[in-house]
Amino acid sequence: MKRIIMLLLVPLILTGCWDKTEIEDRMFIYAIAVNKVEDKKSESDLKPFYEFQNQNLEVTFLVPNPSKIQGGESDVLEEITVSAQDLPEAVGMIRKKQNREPFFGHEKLLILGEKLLRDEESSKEVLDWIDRDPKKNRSAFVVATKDIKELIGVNPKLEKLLPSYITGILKNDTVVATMISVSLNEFLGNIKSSGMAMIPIIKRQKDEIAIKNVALIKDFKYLGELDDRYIRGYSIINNKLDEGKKLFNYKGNIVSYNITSSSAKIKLNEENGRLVFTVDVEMEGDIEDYLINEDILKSDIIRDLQDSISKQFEIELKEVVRHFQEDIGFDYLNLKSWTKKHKYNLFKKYEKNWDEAFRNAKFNFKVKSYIRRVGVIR
Amino acid sequence: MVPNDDKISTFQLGLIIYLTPIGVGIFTLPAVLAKDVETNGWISLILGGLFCMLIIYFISDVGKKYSNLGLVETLKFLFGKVLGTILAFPVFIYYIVFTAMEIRIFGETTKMYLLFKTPLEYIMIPILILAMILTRNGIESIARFFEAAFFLIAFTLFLVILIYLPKSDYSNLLPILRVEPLKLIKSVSDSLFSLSGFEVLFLLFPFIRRPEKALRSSLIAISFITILYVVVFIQCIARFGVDYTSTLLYPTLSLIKSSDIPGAFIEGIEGLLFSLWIVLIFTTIVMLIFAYSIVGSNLIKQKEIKHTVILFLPMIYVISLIPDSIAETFEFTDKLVIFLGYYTIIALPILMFIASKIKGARG
Repeated sequence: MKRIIMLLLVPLILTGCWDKTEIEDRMFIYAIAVNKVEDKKSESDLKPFYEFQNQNLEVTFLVPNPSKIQGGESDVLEEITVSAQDLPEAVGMIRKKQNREPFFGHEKLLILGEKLLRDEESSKEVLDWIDRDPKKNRSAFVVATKDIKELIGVNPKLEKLLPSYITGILKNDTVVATMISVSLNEFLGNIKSSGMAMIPIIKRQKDEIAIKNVALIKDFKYLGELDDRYIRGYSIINNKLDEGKKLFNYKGNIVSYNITSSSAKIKLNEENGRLVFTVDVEMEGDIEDYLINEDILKSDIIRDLQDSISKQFEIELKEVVRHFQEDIGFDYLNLKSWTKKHKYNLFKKYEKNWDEAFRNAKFNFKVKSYIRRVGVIR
Repeated sequence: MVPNDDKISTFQLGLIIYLTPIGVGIFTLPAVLAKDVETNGWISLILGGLFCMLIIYFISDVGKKYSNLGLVETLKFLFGKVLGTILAFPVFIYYIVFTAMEIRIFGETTKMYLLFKTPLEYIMIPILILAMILTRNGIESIARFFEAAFFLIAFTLFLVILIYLPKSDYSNLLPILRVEPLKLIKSVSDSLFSLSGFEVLFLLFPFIRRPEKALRSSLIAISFITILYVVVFIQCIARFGVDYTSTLLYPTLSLIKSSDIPGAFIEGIEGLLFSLWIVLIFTTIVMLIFAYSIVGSNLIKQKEIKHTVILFLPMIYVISLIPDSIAETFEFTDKLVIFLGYYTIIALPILMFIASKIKGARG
């Protein structure tokens, strides 16, 4: 009798599958695109309802259609667009339009519209929503764009899905020097620790999508655009450069140098109440093209080329730093955290007015570049 | 051949001391330390580990002397019947509340990361019942279960650490020792309480086959936990940086969540890892239930530990549901530490050590 009672009690506790979701009942959201369309402020007095009134955000969820993929059709990406006050409301609203349960675990891409980034409060809310919910994929990429609608219209040429097309381009940052990619993890970490972050901007170019320039974010707000040219210098100083090219001038000809590794060592001193950063860079690389009918396979020519490349890198880095110091005026080179880590006393001294200290800082560069290989012709 | 005498070997004792403290505390620990002492959390952890070893020395010194008595009997012997009972009562309350909070935080984290729609009660009740079944079988079955679970957990931890080791920025750990000494000392108590659970050693003395060897295996266990905590802390800081870590509620779980295996043929291994974390938490709950049942049965003079387990189980369930929100749960846990933790973990062992020395000198 006792056993029978036990047996009857067991199912009471052990059954019940509240979290059961069949895979075919799921809607795998590959990308979320958020932009701000209106700017209605909510009043401070209490009202009975807040739903469906301030539809400030336009949220587009990009979802691949599994049955279309199986059928081999070309246009497999479905877009579901809703307007809502915030993202939780948007998710609630797609559940009113779509039968399947939205699943964010495989999200690959977060597209933030420029208008959203210009509004501090809204972008804070959107980012907090992503940060707060543990079900989100934290390794998704973040990009910014001006116009989400024209972007979504693009039909990728070689890929089936738009998000994997964009993330595929972003992953090329390991071989392209003038490009960065930012994951959600890095982005949220940067913005929470220093208040400053960079996001690559994607633009439509005819029927393709291209990465062009970087959006600078300061305290959850859009600060400005950074031209692609400055990214290589930024990556070199931050030791983030894996591989990339630089065009340089040799005897009036423009030739290409492919960097295969680069390492920067920063030193910091203080002179007359001013920070002096000395950056030593060492890089290795190959020559990819040269002058026709000239013999490159001579060590003094290689040495001459190396000196020329080093000098031109020094000019480039000086210009990059000048751009950050004078035109942008904020320390996007992460030197504040570097100083905190390595020169704590100086950090304590300048912590309060770091931006000014950064603007006034002096930079010295010493670049040493090596040419290891020149290809298979002389 | 291992005799079937309801006693545990020295190795099993080490495993118990190793697996009991590792519970839900490891989830929140890096955030707490990052908030208090920034990058120097690992120093605080090592100091906490050393302090813990000192207390273990006190406990085992007293425990060895009265190895057949157990905690409550020892207290009665040292301080007299009335005072001894009064001194033992907070320990009992401590274990009851500690178990309840452990189960609550376990339920909350599981709901947050694994079973989103399952009611909290249905996450907590099965684990309570399972823990009850194991505890009722006595210390020997518990020790054998720990042995079985240990290798599973040790392998997983090793695997997890291997995944995270290369992809982090270890310069995030700088600067070293740039913190006010007072703050560092204050944070040592956080580190020490992250190891809480080791005090079950006191209750285990009557069950140890060779009590004179208890000190050594406990010290080894504590040093292994300290190493594990230091590695977890360093990984969190290296991956997220100090400022971001201190804003996270469960940095360790976020760390698991942010895993990306090179090659990426599997995504989201966190499901697998979470299910193993449950085993880890289960060991803690089992040991805590066992602890309160021993203290409780000694207090009410019940010879069968089995009955005490069930007697207080509903109470634990009710206490664990007292806090209304996750914020209140954390406040409740902090209060537990302030009122009962300091007493059970620090004051009582020192008090008993001094009393036993005086008694020893007299006798």
